[in-house]
Amino acid sequence: MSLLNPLLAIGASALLIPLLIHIFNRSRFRTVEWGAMHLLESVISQNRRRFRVDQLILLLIRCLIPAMLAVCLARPVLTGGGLLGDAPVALVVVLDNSYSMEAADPGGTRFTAAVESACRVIGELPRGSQVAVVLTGGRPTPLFETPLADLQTVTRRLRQQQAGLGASDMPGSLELAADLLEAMPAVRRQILVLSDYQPADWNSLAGGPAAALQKRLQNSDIPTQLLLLAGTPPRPDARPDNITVESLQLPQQPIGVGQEFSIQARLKSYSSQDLDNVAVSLTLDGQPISTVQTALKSGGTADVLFRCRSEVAGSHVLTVTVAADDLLPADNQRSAAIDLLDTVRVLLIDGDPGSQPLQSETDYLAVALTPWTFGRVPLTDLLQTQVVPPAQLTEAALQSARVVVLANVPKLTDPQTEWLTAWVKGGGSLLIAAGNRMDIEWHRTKLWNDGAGLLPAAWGELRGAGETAQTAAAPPTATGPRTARIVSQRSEHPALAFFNDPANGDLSTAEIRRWHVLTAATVSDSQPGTATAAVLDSGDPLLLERRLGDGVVLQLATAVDADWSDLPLRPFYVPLMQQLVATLAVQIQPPRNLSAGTAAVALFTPPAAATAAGATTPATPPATTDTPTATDHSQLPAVTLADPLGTRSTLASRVQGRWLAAETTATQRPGIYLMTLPDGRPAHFAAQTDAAESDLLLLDPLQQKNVAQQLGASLVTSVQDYLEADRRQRHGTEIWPWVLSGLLLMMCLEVVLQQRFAGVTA
Amino acid sequence: MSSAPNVLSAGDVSRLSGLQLLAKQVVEGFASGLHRSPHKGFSVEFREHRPYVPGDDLRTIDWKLFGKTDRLYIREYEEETNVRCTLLVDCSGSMNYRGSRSDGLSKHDYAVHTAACLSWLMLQQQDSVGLVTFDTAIRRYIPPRARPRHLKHIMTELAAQKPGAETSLADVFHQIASRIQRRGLLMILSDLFGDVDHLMKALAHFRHARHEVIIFQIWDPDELDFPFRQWTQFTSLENAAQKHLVDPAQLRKAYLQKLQEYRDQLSRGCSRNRITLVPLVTSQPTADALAAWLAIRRRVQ
Repeated sequence: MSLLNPLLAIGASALLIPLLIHIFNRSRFRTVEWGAMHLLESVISQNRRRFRVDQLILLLIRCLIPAMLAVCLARPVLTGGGLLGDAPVALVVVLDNSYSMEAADPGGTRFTAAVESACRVIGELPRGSQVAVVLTGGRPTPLFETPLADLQTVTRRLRQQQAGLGASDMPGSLELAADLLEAMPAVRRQILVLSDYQPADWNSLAGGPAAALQKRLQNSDIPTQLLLLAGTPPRPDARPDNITVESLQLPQQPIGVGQEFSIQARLKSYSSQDLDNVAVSLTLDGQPISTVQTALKSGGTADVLFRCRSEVAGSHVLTVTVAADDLLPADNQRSAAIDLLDTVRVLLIDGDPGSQPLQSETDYLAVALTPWTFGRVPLTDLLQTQVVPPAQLTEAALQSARVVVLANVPKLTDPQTEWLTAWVKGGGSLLIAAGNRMDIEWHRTKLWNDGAGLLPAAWGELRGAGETAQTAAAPPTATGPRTARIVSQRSEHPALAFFNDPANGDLSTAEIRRWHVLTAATVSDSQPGTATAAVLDSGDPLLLERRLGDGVVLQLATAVDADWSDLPLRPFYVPLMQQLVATLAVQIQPPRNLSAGTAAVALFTPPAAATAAGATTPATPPATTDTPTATDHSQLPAVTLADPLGTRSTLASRVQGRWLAAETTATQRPGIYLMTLPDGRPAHFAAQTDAAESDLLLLDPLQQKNVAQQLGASLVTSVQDYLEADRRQRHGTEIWPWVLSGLLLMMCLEVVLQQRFAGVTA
Repeated sequence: MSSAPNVLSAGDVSRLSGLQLLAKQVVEGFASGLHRSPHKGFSVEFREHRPYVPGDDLRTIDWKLFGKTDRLYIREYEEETNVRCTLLVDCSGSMNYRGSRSDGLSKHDYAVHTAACLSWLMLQQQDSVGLVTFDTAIRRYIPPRARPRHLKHIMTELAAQKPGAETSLADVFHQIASRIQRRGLLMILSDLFGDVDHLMKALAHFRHARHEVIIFQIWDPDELDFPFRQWTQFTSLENAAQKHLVDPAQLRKAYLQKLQEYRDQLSRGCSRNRITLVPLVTSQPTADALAAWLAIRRRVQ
């Protein structure tokens, strides 16, 4: 026990006062010569002993009164051993800002409640304490780079935080907290965990990780106190009702403007009741498209299909919203970004032009790629073709095209080859189709170049009967199959995956009369990035794909017109060509729908001014640059990024091949990120999070206690209890109220006893 | 009485002058006094007429009345006797107690004062008054005389007494009882401190000797209510070696209880023996207390 005002305890010497008074009184006595001694004496002699005892008791009480008053004023304090007083504390607040913390509780969301609790605890910290905050949603991140001692700033920043990130990584967060603590010097160390204790987040902590963490915390030189602030106990025997849009499936194929596409949404119910007539609606860029009613069983899933189309090219956001009034409104909708392709410019280099309709090499292809234009139907084609003979292939034409098709091209000039190679490496897509006019030698030396050129494989021997009047130049081979068919197998190639559904067409119905062998020996030399997309039933590959730099080259073993096969005459020719070309056109784009935390990259063409400036040497040296390599960067345009909360930031772009790329990895928060490219076009990115957060079932108090036990942590039921226990631990309990009541009791006792003792019987 | 010591003041005299002390009991006396006697004899005072019955003494016939009414009546006279009164004044040490409320009078002074008043009253009534002063034994015995200058004698003796020594009332009373032969009125002025039973026996002895006994018990107010507050050392007036240092507040209630018991015992004993017990408190003026008592006694008579 200790005293808060020890000087006042000296006042306890006032107990001497009654003692002195007593002695004084006894010494200052009156002498009375008394006559009625016979009466007095009997009284005295009978009660002598009792008088003494009574005197003593009264004296004792009278002495105690000032002593107790002095002790009371000195404010005694009971301490449980080792007072810490106001020693500074190093506190790490582990704050769960996962998705589920957005769930509504009476009086705000769980997250605001947790933030308030944290702010209260921080507000009560002694001076000189340091605080670090770890946010657990998605990936554990510290809120401040270094632990702060300015508690006002900490609480202010805390209040600005919002929940809604992905699932919490509890083991990682606690490890990070322990790391942060080690860097913070203080007498006392505490980790305060505020969470809603979802099993999905906490079950990963059970067993090994918990034991390891406990050992780590105990073995540190200054013992660390781990506190878990208990979460709101869930409603008994029921999961909190929550309906969520679990996933969205977009078509994998590239979609162009005006094309109708379908979106499949999967709903999951974490509710205890069956629900009929749940309204699910789709919006495109905020405009409602359609609403569907569906039934949803308790704990079950439902799939809803939407169809949509847009006339506007570019990046769009599709949002599926389920109308439900549940605890976690944030997961009632899910968004996806879709890039509707504007017309893709395809450059067809026709090596065998003709004047008659369908005589040119690329006529069929051109029709197939732009059916609406040829059919004069007022619908927009995704693809826009330009046919040039090889001689008119210019670099400018190359630059403006997304896909180039070399159809039966005999040869190209060297500069043309160089431009083409550079263009492909810079991100262009090239389709090389065979034909009878090919200069095999030139192809072998220039395009194949022993694997250093563009071709995935060298043109091998010609196979197949192929006899038609036009192909008299190519001698038929004696041996080998006369015709071949495409093997209809399940393909994972994005272009041919369309035909996995037999309703879309059967590739094997086409008859290939003549083809080049893309020899196995050359293919198996395993150029990196070479793959076979389609195979003939003769064993020879039909379509090879090779990635070169940032671009891709497809090699078709046969011709694209009707000379060597009847592919163009098949109904699937149009979709096949469209798929091929469209896939080539969009393949290079990084995905727009990513999981939270992965990098979002947007590729865009450099604005014209920048390319002009980048192509020529700048006349004047640029001003404020330190490193020589920064010369180019100062010319590069910046991209603005808006995150789901609306915060704007600027990203610097970098050169990637013949594109410019803007990248950000700050996609922890699920939602829609909008990059505004220098030319004003938007690029939407949808960061998705794990749907496990939507299960709002929480650990019940017993389980929470188990977890706390495994971690060696103390479970605190409320902030108030924690603060009181902390205060008691730091300062001890004051017992002066007890002493005061004892004092008053003594005073009453003294009066009572005095009356009673005077009434002694004779 | 100019030569008498100042035990009797003019005020007392004026206060008492109109009063008589009348004996309750029939006391015979042969000299004329102010007391009635059932013996009808010749006397100065006329009492009443009684019709003549043959056999009465002819000398008592009132002829004047016969002349008026033509009937024979007998005149009856008050026969006056006188009472032999003895004052017993306690001069033991306990009588020396002087409280703060008694105008500086000790109990003995008060007793003396009262004795003086009584003796004057007696002598006015032509009764005879005697005095006995005692402590553990008889100090002085003055036999009763009715002559007026006897008062001075008594007064002188009273004034000369100095209280001291212990009390043993019972023995002294036995001695006095044997000393006084003829029966009379005994007035005891004492505080009666002592063993009640022995005392009662001695008083019974007096009664057996057919004395009328009146006890004036002298109290000091302090003895009656025990007002002491601070620590006090009580020293006995009779035995100087007896000392007690006590806190009076603790004792008070017990003392008062004890006192009450004692007084009850005394009054029971006195009423059993048909003795009048008159408590006198030294804070009351002597003459007033006495006058009040005399008035009551006369009405009762």
